[in-house]
Amino acid sequence: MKGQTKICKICLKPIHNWSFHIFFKNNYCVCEKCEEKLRPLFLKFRVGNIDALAIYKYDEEIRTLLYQLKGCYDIELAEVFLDRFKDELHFLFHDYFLIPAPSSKANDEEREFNHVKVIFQCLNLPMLPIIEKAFDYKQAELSAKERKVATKSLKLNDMHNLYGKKILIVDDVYTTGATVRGMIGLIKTLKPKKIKILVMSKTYLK
Amino acid sequence: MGAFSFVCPICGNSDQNTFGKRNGKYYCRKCISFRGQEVISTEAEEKDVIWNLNYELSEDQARLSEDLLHNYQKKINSLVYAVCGSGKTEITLRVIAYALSHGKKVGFTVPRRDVIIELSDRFRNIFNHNTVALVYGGNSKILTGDLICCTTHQLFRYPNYFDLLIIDEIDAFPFHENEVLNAFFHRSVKGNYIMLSATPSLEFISDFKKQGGAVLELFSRYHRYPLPIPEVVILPKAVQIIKCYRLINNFIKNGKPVFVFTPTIKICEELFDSLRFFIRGGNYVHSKRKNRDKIIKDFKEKKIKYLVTTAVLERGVTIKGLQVIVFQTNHNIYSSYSLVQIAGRVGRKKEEPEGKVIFLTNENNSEIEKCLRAIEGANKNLQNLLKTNT
Repeated sequence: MKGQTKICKICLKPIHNWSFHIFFKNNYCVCEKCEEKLRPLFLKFRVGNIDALAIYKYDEEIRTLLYQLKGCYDIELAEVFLDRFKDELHFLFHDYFLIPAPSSKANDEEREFNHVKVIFQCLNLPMLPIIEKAFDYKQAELSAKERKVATKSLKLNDMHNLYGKKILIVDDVYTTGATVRGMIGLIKTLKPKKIKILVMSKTYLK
Repeated sequence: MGAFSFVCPICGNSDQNTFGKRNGKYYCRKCISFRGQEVISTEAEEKDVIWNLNYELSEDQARLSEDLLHNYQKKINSLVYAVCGSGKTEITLRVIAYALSHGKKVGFTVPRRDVIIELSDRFRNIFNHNTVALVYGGNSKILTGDLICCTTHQLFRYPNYFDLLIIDEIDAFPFHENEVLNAFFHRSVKGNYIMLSATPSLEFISDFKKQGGAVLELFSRYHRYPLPIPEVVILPKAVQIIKCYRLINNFIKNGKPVFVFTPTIKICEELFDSLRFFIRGGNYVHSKRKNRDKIIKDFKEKKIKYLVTTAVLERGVTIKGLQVIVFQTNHNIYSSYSLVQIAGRVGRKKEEPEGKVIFLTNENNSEIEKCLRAIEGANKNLQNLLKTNT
């Protein structure tokens, strides 16, 4: 059968059916060698007084994979990042509502999907995309100060009832925290019970 | 699955496992990273081509370049099988000049980035009345020119474009056995192609002949000196470092530059860390090292005495009076082809045609023996040639 030969989603080489690594993670789609390159760190840090968790360090490997997902529209890569921790993360945040960080609408329309949503889809939690950008800007080109100004343009798209709900803010890359801080400010006005942050990768600033 | 079948229109891939699905449409994941600005072929004008070379071609080179020109005029693809340092690049100059003067699109492509940068400089000196475009990853603003030099990864930009495409080092790492790059190569050729190699496999040659191509052979270096035969030194791993230190010291005393080839990036850094305390004035280079172009430039100007390197420098580097040490030669990363290439770094200049190649190894394996046999075979051919000529 064609469908039964598994293939690694990163290096496109077939995965051995009976390896030790497949034994525990039945549906994971990355081979052992590629898995070694993606080293999870589970970095805990705080943004203001809110707990945050970063899973990877934003290194060369993550950067190229994210580029292939975002720049080359390779949607199949979305599972690669979080699929192997999906049960643990689902358990950790089982009664939370996800709010994905906004990205520019023009980009989303061109690539036909939103990369943050696609990455965190595997957690199987309800998603509320309630924050959007008022106008499009590219964050990578801005300095830390300009980012703070730019994030003031974030807005709620319509009023949601978040009262008494637990909220988990998710994003792909955490650099200066400008987006996340802007989102926290907006969400706090809706008075949720609790806010936490989960980011896929975090850059190290020396 | 099963009933439908989808073939990628760009790279011709038909392996159903490698396709992804986005909003109900299939797309090919093998060639997805090759996206960017493409060049549409236009009619080129006929140009006057002046090429100036500071030195004369040898007899063999002149003969081969004549043959290549005839093959191109007859529209036959050719494969040039020539030993390291025989001057393969110079052989192609005549065909390039001919094609350019007839208003054809000409390209020169190599799998390695460092090699294409060095080659484009040479072409700029030779064809200094024409424009030479250099295209590689991260340098793709100017895509058109009279002669286009690009890495094989950038060939996706030129679909059905070249009337004459020359590819060097067909057995080097990223291009060799990479279906996607091979597909892009054949996609970008409109007319004919010329392949250059120092170490093609026998199967490849027979396949090439079956497809109607002509194979041209050249078994001597242009200065008619034999290829240096590697010395094999069998030592345990720990003692290899001490031996390495002594050899480098000897070479530096005689004022010769030294390359130490190591199998992996990790071993490269470890070896340099233990050597730097004993011998000053060295450096190390691997594919992930920043500003390596500058380090190599410094080495050529003799500011750096020895260089610990991985396989990045195994091809296309010409340095006067170079000596080579290979560390842990029995590592499975080295094939007999790459060992021949490494041995071919030595004695490429006419002023210093001899040099030493030393393989440090734990044990003698089949790859080392194959490499020795290949070099001895080429040298025997050379001796026969010399006898018949005199």
